[in-house]
Amino acid sequence: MTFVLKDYSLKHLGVLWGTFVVRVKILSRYKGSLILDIIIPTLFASIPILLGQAFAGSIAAASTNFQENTGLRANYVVWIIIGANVFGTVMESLWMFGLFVRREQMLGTLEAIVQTPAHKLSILGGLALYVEVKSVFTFILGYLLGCILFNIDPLQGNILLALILLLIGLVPIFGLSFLLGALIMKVKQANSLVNTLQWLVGILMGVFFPITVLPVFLQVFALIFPGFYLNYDIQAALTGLNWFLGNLYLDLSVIFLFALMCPFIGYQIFTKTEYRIKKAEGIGQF
Amino acid sequence: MSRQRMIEVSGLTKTFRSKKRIGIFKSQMNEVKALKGVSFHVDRGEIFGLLGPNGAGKTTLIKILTTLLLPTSGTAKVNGYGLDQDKNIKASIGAMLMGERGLYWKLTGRENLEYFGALYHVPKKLLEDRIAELSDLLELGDFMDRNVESYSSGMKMKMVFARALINDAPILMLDEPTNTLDVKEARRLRKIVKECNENENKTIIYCTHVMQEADELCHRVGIIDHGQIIAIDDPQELKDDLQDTDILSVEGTIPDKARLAVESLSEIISAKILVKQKNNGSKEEKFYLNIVCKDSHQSLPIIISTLSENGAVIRNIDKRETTLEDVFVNITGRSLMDDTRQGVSIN
Repeated sequence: MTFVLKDYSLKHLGVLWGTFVVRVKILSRYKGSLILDIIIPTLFASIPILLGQAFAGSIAAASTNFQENTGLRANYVVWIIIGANVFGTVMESLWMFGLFVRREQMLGTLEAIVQTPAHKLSILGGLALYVEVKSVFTFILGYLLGCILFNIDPLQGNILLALILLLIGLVPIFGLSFLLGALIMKVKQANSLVNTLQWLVGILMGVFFPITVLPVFLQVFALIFPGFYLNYDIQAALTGLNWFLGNLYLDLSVIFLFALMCPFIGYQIFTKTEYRIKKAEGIGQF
Repeated sequence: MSRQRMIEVSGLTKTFRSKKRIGIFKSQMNEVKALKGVSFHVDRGEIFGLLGPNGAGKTTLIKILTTLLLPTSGTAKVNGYGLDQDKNIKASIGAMLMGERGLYWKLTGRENLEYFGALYHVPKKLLEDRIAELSDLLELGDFMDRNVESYSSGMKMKMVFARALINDAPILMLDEPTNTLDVKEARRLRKIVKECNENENKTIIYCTHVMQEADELCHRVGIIDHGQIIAIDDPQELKDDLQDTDILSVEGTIPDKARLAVESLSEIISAKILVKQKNNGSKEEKFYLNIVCKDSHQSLPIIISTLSENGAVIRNIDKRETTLEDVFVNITGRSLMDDTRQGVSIN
């Protein structure tokens, strides 16, 4: 029995590791895309930072305005750089599965993968591992780049805690990714969905401004979106802000709760959608 | 002693429902019956050909047997497993369904095979040996370590075939595997398919619309048309059923009026325009008038005069061997190529 279980686990680990390695190899053949993933958050952050400077006259004055108007005791430049980098990793994770499904559909590899006896969860595990590793890598380098460009000390906060929060906080996002994967498999429109939803995700996460400046109904949506807690808590870990619920453990509990709920719900919905598609036109049809 | 049934299909139907646009805001439900009660079986070690024109239902049937698609009704067993036991079925088959697609273009051939080997749970040590074996068998050589994006269509097709063989499954399902191969490569692939069957006793379902392939390879052939299996037997048996007739092939410029005039003669069973593929797998095609009659010696003078009177210019007339195409024409009244070749004048 032990042997069977060990054998069973090894098979799944082989699929997980194989998927991870394949993704890394494919990424290594698109080096430009990795560099862009590091640079884009800083470019993305530069617009509101420089806009703030233009309105206030200097970065210091803009930072004072930001603190007075939002009640947050944080340097707005660091705050926005962190937000932009977390946003990059959240978008990558959120679309991880959806874009994977669509890409594989178009390449013709989805049918080939679905034809194998590999369990979906092992493949998803490999994908998630790839996104986690890539996210940590791009977050660290993207954050460093932003800090260097805007003359900020990158070691001012608890970086290790921020990275731990990033790793845990991406798990519920993977769950939401199954939902979007199901949607993309059904409507077969990945790019328009990504373009439409990315702005909403940015607003709900509080990337450029705290959610307290949003209308109340949007604040409610933000509070049930795991990406908001992930972003806020990483900002808190790196800038010394108060934790959102007043205590690190309470914030972590919320993230853990999302980490349990979202993948479960997302996977159930994905599996049901997949069954419906198998009944209709078949997997892999695009 | 009864042979082991590797595939059993009983009363399989599949209906696709889709919305048909009839205006900017209006649509109506459209139903296409892709399979209409298909039943057959394939024994262990048999090469079973599914021969039919494009859109006959071959790919739908294969997709159901590989569990990519669920049937509307009916049952099927693959290697003894029902369609609901999809993990066991997937482990029992190697499939080649989407032509040259289904490979990661940014990876090398070897990396593709390593990944798919992992997905099929092939142990690492075995996988290395298997890849080396396939590389020799399919003469992949240096291509194994080149990115797939640099391959020709034929090489991609061979790599997809290698992928189908990676798990050394007892059943192979091949859907038009020689589609983009040149004559030499198509012949080589068919030889390998035959070897897989003879040396490793693999059970093979081979879908094709090329009659010569089915004739050359398959122990039994199921002729499928409009979602139904209309004939099923040994290729020779199917052809023998037509032995009491003669078949003439007329080349030249033959207007439809001339064809219809010949077809209306009492001595003639059928007169259809068919396409001759010069070699197996070749893209080169030639149109000719295929005449089935009781006695060609007796009918030939009236055929020639009828064609000439109706404006035909005859270049060549041959009496030829019965092929599976003739079997298809005899049963359906249409050619295998009819769906795409209707109304083409022959020169």
